[in-house]
Amino acid sequence: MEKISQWVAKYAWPILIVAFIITVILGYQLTQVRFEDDVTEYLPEDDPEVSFFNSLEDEFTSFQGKSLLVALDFDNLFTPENLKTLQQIVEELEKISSVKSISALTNMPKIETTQYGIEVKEVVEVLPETQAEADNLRKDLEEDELVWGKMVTPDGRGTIIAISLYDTADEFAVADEVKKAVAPFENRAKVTYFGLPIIMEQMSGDAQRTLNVLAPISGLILLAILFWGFRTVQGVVLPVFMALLASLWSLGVATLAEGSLTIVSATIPVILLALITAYGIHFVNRYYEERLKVGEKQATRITFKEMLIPIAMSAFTTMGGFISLFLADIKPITEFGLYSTLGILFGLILATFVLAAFFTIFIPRKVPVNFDHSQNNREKDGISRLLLLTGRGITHHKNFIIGILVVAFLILTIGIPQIQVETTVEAQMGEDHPLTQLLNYFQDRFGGTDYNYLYLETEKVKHPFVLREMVRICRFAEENQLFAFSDPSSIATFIMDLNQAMDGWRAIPDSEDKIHNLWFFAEGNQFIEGKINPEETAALVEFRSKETTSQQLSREIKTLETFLAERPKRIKSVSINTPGAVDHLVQTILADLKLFGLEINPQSQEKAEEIILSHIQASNEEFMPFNQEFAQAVSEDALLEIEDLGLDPNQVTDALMKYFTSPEEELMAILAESLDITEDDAFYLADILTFSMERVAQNNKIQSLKAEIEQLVGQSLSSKDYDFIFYQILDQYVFVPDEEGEISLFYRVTGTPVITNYINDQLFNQQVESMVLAFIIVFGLLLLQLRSLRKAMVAIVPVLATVYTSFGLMGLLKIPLNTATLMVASIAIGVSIDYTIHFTSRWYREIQNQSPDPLRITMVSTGRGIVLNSLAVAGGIYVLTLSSIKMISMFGLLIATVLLASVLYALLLLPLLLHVSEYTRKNNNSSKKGV
Amino acid sequence: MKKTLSLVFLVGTLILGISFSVWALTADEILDEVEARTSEFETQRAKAKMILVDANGKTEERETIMYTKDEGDDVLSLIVRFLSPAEVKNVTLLSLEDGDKIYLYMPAFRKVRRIAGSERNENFMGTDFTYDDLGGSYSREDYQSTLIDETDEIYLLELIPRKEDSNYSKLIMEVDKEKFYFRKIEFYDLEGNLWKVIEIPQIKEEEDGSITIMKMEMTDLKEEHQTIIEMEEIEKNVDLPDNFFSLRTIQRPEL
Repeated sequence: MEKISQWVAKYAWPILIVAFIITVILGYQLTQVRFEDDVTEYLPEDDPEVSFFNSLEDEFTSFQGKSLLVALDFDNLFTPENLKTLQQIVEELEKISSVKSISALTNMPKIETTQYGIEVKEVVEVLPETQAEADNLRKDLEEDELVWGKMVTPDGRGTIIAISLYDTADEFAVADEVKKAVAPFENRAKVTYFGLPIIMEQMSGDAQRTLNVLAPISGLILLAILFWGFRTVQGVVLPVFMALLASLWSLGVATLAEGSLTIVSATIPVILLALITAYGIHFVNRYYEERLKVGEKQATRITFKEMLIPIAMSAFTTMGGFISLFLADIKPITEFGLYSTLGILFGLILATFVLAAFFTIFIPRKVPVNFDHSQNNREKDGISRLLLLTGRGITHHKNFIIGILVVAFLILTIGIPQIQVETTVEAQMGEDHPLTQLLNYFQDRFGGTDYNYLYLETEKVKHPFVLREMVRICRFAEENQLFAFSDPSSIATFIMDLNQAMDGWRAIPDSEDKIHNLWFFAEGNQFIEGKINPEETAALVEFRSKETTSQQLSREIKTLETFLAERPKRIKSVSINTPGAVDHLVQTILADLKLFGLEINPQSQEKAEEIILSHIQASNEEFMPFNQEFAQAVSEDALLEIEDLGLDPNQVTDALMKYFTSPEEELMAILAESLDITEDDAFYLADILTFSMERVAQNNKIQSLKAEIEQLVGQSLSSKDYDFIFYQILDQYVFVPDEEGEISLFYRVTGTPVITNYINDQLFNQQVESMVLAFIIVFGLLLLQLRSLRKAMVAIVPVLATVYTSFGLMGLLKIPLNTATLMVASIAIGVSIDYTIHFTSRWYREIQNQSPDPLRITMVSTGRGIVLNSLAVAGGIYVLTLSSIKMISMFGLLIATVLLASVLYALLLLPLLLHVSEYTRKNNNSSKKGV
Repeated sequence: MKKTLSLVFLVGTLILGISFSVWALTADEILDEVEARTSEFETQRAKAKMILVDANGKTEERETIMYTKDEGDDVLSLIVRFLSPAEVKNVTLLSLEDGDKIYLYMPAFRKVRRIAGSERNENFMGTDFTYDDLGGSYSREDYQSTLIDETDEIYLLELIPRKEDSNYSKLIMEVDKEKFYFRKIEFYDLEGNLWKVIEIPQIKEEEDGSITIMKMEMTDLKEEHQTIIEMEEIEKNVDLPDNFFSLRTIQRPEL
């Protein structure tokens, strides 16, 4: 130690110069600090949930790529002028080279069935020129569930523009370009932006403010409290300055290493400032003492020699708490743990080596004489009087103190079960925070901004059963009102829409060929093609996730996963003529009716089965009434071909009626004669009409089943949703569960909210793990210092009580467990152990010295120091409650309060335990001697 | 209607005249020359292979057979039938009246449906060509042209679209000096960034001296996607029945 102190004295200038250079370099780094909070980056990239989530980006081009949202609010969107403004904005945005595609009301595709066939058009193909046209457009769109409430707000005033960017795009730069492009229109509508750059900008700004404003305030508070305790300005300015430097070094290194930090790291300077100042105080205090005792020349050397180990021990115990966080798997916690530990280490170096170097070169001409209060002085101040009173209480009113502590613990016990994990934006940022309001705005007006995904792996994504399962899963989410799985979008939806246009029913056909034909329309449509992987063995179903509480999110994910676990995992296609196939189809249809929310009471169950079965088994001919209506429906079905032949559909209907009334005649002959067409044309038309008769009959069959089920349940089933169910009676193939089947299905849910939930699930485990580790580290250090297991076990009790208090307070004060508050227990262990060590050491020293009143002396000497230190630390940290970020403010409130509680345990519970333990030991010794 | 001029590219029969010496041609004259040397035909049958290459190098091949008829007054009719892969086999497209009426036959449904509303700036059948790109006509009516460079082999033209709703701010076209066909066209987006490139790596010189494009590559640099069209068989002025371009034809198992 002597050698080190001599080394410091010898190299005082180089030490100061190096410290200065480090400060300049890291100070510059700190000016570059950015704060980003992307929950998908909280976990390591090799975490199974995260790596799976990230792998989807490579597999599916539609997967949550880079995007931005622009919301426009008008007095009324549906005026010719405002719709034109919308189109102009879209046109301006399309000019930005990094913009891949834009989805807006003006260019949204819509599949429509017309008399002739399929019309794929844009929702707003021609902009209205008059108010009446605009009103009509509004009326049309109000019935479009894909548009109203999603692309257009329910009040018809707002609309959203979704901008998809190329993967290579710099989101921050594009956000600026987008704002620039929209700026000229901002006088015509209220414009609101949303996207990762917008969130990051807001969060980073808040975190910067926390850093730039709260750290200096915390420093000033520390100075004020310390000045009140020590009555000297120069004695406290240097320690606070050293603590500031340690904070700067720590964040400087963090910026250098990480580039951007998570929000919770913005609290590091305030925490470090509060904790590290004590080291400097100890050093300066001792220096002044030594100056008065040994003079200028020896003071620095002796101070360094005497104080390095105690300060290091104190730093190591605090680092024990922080380093336990570093081993967690969640980025903000790891980051906070690492750079706080590093900050404490820097604090240790600055408060010893650098301060010693400073005092070697810049020797104060005079030092305050009253810096080290004499015992008499100490006992006169308020703190000391209160401590003496406490000491007397412990010795004379033991039971009363025990009673108070028991009541306190009982109250805390009530709080513990009430702890809840809550990591929603509102819970973390606060309900008045601009980000919460921004999210609420998008949620209320457009149904949310976040997405969850169902990943489905199989042999063929375009297999009818696979597509039908997608529909069933989406329906389950809808029926169970799973807010985290709303507004599904999948290839199944697209296929159903096209089938409706092609075949009249919004359903999934049972034939792969039909699906492949329909898929032809998806060619080149990146939105649809991007929902399956290139090998066509995996698909994504995208859900809008509305923000709920973390508990609800967890419940909803479990509900969906339970449902998925119950779905068939392997099936085979069998012909409808296979024994048992029809029965299976009947049961499938019944199960689907239930899934779609149609409850059939047990008495009607059998009847329902009967109805379905009879329809499946009925031939198409049974649904050909051969009347005028039927003939007309057949002509309409074959309208394109009839017109292509240059014929009048009414004449064809008449010819059909003739055929119906004289079935002995051939249709071809009737057509040739009635329509005056060539034999060749008649042959062709007869073939077309015969096929159309089958199609119309199938249509009638489905309608008949629908009507009979409607009658049975006494409920209208007119919604197109039920097409999916009833269309299955046309199936020629039935999909039955079979372990040897050719199609397997594997499901997995993912998405940012799902990952958030996964992190939430980990929070408790992480907390327990880091806490246990912190305990092990500090207990080891405690053993090292006290060199007695019994003493260490007594000394650890207040630390345990502190942890218990942190949990109890979280429950009682309704402070949710999140990435910040999770760390409180471990930090509290690291800090409170200091108080325990100081108090216990002094107590045993007094016992060893056979002091007449060890408790009183320990209280007034060490106890006073602890109180002053804890007041400074808590005062400094309470500043965090001023943060505009609720999570940080709650973190500050909790940690400062818990640290104050830890002082209470160090000065109330610990003396009580020491007193009782010493009393018991003495009694044991006396009885042993007596024996 | 430019849409139907897609036939020209799809069937790969953009045939250009034999080169001849010219002195100091202006940009407009070069464009006129390119257009003038496009051979006329009444009907045409062609087999072509479309190869789609994605960013990962994954390729997808489709074989098609196409029939084209010049109905006069620059109005074309077209039938495109997919021969492979199996999922789209016999899916057939009929375009009448220069694309004003487009029908699609879906063999699995045994039904024809009329499709409409295709966007001119949307990609055609999963390729990197938009209907506009497929229009393939670069006449002085559509573009304002400037001769920006000239070497022994090529003329380098800058074409500025006259249409206000064009996807492109400009095109840079390399015209072969000897054979008067475009070897390469670069398409620039509205912000002036290079977006797409068409290249003609293979041509066939016919006996009459006209040029048939045998291979055409369109690369979308933003999407990192490429479409290659390879012509396999081309027959001009084939005999087709009067009512060949009809719904009835596209419903036949064999064309």
